[in-house]
Amino acid sequence: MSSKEISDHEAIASFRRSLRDHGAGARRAPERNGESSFDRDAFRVLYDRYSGRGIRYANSILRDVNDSEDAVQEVFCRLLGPIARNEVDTGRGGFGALFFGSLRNLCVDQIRKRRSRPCEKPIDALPETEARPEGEPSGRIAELEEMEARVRAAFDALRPNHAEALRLRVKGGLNYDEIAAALDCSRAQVRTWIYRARRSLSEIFLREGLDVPLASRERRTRR
Amino acid sequence: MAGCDEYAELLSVRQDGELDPAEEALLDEHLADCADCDALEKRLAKVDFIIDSTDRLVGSDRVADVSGRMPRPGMRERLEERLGRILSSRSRRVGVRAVRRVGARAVQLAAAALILIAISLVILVTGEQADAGLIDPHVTALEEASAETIKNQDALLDTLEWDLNALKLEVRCTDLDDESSSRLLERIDALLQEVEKTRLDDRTVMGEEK
Repeated sequence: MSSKEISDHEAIASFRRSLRDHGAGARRAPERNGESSFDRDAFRVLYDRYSGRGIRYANSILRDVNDSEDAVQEVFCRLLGPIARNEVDTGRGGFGALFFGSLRNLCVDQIRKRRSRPCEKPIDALPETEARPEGEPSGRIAELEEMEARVRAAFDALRPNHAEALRLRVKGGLNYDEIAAALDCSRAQVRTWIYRARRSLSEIFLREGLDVPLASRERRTRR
Repeated sequence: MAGCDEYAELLSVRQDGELDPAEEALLDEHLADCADCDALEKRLAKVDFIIDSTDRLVGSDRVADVSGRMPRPGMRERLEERLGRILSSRSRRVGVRAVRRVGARAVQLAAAALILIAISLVILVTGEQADAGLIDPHVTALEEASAETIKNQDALLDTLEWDLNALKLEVRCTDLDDESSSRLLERIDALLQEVEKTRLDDRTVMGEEK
């Protein structure tokens, strides 16, 4: 059975059963190389569905892919408890809302820690140029870097709730119900916040002459 | 764009695939006659593409993941390994707590069993001494009280036996390693044998008295 055929609910139920079997008797779930076994197929369904979106979402807040990967891993580990205790509420946004809600809190904590941490290196000591990945023209990277900085500035100009709702939609791929659960607000509010965020960004982008970058245009053409 | 505000929000909602059929029909009808909203729809769609395009950059350290693959290879394996370790340490903690809980219960029941056995022994000894004429007639009151206890002895032993059997079941269902489990079961079996022995002794005494 492919992962697309299994719903979140089924995957979580199967994963929970394996955790319960594990907890109910060590004799039934032997350790392998010091690790305990669990339903890896069910876990992979959740991982395949949420890890990529989670990293993209976390990266839009943390601006560091390594920190974003760490945050996503941490959230999966933290959700073991609620899954084992059957605390994933399928009626209120389900696993997606719980996952992204936890990830958001974790990212916000990280940002706070960064702010309270003094800069280890003076800015002058930072290298002026970084290695470019092979095969990627430096002009395209420069275009994307500039785009990233301007998009970030535009996001900073939005109201926090509007920006967060749009991030969860575009980066996290959540639907309105899941966003409402993750942000603890109504579906109608989510709808309005996302519209207002898009509207404000479109005005900023238009004013600043920001357009779809070359790389994305090529991808769109290929589609 | 005056009067278009209510439709403008619907454009964004449609982009997210969250529009219901009634709203969809309303919006299409409006778009057929409104060039401004048509242009706005394109601008709103462009916003998502622009936001999406920044995914190709992966942070302030400027390590670009040009393949756009996220998560990067190996992350799942590392995460599965970490989950396995967490579950393993949790299992050990659960095991230790279970041993402590079952152990405490076993000690309580063992103490109860010992008290019962001691009472039985006192009754047996006093009964034998009385038979041999070694006890003062003033002890008759104690004898009467003991007779009442003897009557309830079987019921008490039954309760104790039931508790011990329940404990055995709990040990079997609890998350314990084989060694701890068999050690506890052996101790419970020994106590059950003591209970059975006491019951047989009581019946012997009762039979003699009759």
